[in-house]
Amino acid sequence: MNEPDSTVFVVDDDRSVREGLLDLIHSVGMKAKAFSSAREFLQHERPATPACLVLDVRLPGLSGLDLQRQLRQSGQPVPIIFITGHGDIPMSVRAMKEGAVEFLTKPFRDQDLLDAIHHALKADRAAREQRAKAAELRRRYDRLTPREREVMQLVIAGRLNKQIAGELGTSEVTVKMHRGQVMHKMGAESVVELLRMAETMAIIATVQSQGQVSRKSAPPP
Amino acid sequence: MKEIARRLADSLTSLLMFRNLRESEEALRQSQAYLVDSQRLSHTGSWALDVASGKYDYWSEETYRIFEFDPQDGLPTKEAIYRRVHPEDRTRALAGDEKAIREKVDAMSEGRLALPKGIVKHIRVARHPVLNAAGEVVKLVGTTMDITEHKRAEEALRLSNTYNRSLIEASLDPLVTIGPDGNITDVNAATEAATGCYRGELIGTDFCDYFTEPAQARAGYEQVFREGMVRDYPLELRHRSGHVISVLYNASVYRDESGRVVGIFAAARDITEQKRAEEVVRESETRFRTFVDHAPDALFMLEFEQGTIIDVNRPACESLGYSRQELIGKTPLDFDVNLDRATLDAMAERTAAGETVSFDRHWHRRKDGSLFPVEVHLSLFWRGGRRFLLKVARDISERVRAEEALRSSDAERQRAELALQDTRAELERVSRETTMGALAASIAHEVNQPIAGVVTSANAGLNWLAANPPNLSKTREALERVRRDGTRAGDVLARIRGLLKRTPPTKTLVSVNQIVNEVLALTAGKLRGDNIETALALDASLPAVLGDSIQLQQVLLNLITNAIEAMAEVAHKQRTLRVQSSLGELEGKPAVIVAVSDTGVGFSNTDTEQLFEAFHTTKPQGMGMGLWISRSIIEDQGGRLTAQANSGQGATFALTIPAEHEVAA
Repeated sequence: MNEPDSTVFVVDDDRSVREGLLDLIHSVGMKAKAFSSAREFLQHERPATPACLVLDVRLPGLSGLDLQRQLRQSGQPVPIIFITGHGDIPMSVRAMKEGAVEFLTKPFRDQDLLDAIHHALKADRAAREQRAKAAELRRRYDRLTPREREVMQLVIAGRLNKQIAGELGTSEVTVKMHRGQVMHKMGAESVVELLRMAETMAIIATVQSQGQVSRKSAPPP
Repeated sequence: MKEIARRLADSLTSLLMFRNLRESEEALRQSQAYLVDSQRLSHTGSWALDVASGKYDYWSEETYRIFEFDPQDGLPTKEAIYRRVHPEDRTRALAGDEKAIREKVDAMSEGRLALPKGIVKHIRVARHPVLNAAGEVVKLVGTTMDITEHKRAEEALRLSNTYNRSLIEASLDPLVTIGPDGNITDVNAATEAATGCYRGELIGTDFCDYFTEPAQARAGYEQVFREGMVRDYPLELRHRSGHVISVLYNASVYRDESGRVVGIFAAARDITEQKRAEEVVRESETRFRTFVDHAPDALFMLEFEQGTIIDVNRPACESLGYSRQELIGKTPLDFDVNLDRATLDAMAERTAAGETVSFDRHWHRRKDGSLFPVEVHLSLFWRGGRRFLLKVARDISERVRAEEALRSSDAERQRAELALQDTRAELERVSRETTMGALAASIAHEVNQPIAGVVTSANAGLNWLAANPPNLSKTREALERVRRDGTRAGDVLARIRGLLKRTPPTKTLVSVNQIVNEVLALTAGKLRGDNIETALALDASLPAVLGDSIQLQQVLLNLITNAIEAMAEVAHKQRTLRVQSSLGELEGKPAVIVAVSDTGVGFSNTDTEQLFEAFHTTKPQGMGMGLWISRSIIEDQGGRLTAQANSGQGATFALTIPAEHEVAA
């Protein structure tokens, strides 16, 4: 396998299923770790490497769906592959809406699970990279002065320097100077790149604060 | 009689005097023939004794016959004759002869002959002395008359008179004879008692003097003389002391041989006594009749020989629908359908031996043809020297009906009980199936889990085999799990099959903890699915109980599914199923208690008993049979099933089953 640094987590209270899954994943050369309850999983420290979760819907105590919600809200999302003994349609719909990668009914074909695992890990890897990138931009953005952030908002909104100066009640020269600072601090070569950066941050903002700002809500350049 | 004898003697004398008169020969022969005839007819023989020689020189044929000598042997000697005279009468016989000779007079005597073969004859002898010219007695002629018949008649008459007199004297009724003049001619002792006067005082006095109404008494006996008799002529007889008694006179005339009325024979009946006696008898009879008629049983008095009914009581009439008159003269054969002549006769014979013959059930046929059952007792009794049968018949319709009703209700009850057992067994099964149906998803999950494990482990095993080089150790591990999980799936299926199977309950020693674990295994999926935490507190040292494990599983399954459902209705609260087993006691004996608690909706404590009623349910889809069946199962096993609301929330159901001393393996 080409995912040596990634880990598959398994949470199932049933020993047969848990042990079977663990061994199956090992047998294809992946790292795996199994837990018998959601609580146990949450208490375990997760590595910063790509990971995915094979999760039984029904668990004693905190259920699989509850765990899914909690993980998403924690800002440390993990792609989830749900497995269930008797999954019904409403349950699977809900799980998928909440961002589940796959919803498998036991007993499942091993290839379906493994495909789902690969897909989940890949997604997690991408999500992690995206999250790292956004975090860097955020750091840069945090260095901007309030005036610079205002100018940046108006620049990515497509305003001209003269317009910005008018809106902010300042001179065009001052706007130009702020604009130069923004481009420098953010490390952007062009307004287009700055816009993409803003979009990246906006995605994060969307995820973090439930659609206050969304990609689609942003005005076209 | 004397007359005849004398005449005979005279003719005999004449005969002797004219013996030699030839001219009279023919006449004599004729006369002799008459004489023989007359002697035979009058049983009178004649004879002549020569006094000088002391020998008889003549005996007539009849004399021979009376003395039973044979004329062929010639005249018997005086000694021979003497021997035939009865020893007691010999002296008298000789004295008669001597008197006639000595006193020269006719002499009569009576006596007896004691003849051979024990025959005794009574005779009367008449003797007449015959004198010669010198006036000496030369001959004694006489007759001997056989008066045996006469004596016998006389004796009979005498005995008869004595007997009549004693009868008259023995009569309790005052009897009197009255002459045509109205004077008393004779009385009996009862008359003496009634009047207080002696016989001597009464005879010769006026009959009328002894009555309160002499004129009426006179009119009475005058009526008898006129009409020949009176019947029940009422008079009042006065005792010398003044005491008066009511009498009824029955009187008739009596006549002498010539038919002339010589007097009245009058019998008085003291009817004061009789009146009282009659009253007593009538009262007693009425009383007895009342008893008999009010007896609950039908009574039949039967004549012994033929069984003819002589009397019956009212229940006999009422039960059979015949009148008393209709029944009298019938026999029980006419209405007792179980009897025939031979049986009745045999019964009568047995009663004669002192037995009371009883029959538990005979059938009597009413006049209208309908039948009814009776219990019959037949016994013998004596009345007036005659044998009678008493048949007592008791109507047992009610009893027979009751018995039949009992019998049919017994059968009915048995059928009902069997049906109930059947129904309960069926209900138990249905209830199990319903419970299992509700658990179907959960059960499917329970089977599915190990199967999922099997499939996954098998895939893993295949992957390990496919590696280069194959990882056999890992393959073995995977196969071990496949075996383990496959077995586990099989176990779950076996438990389900066991619960769904309808097998007759068999009591064995079972471990309650084991049953709890098995049921929890079946419901684990449901518990997990409903997000219910299970808290187990099982006492591992519990003794076994004697019970049917399937039924106990059913009860626990029922309690646990109830708990799950009760908790499903409660949102956003902690859901905990607590199962606890412990040692307790039931009626002072060790018992195992299993308590199932939930944190569900619970119930108010007042509803506790209602919970166990059939068709009581709080669930929209419930049958309301679960707890009812559970309780009946536990009670069948000698235990108790109780419910209690928890102080916090939810409810606790506890079953208590008597513990066995052996500890389950």
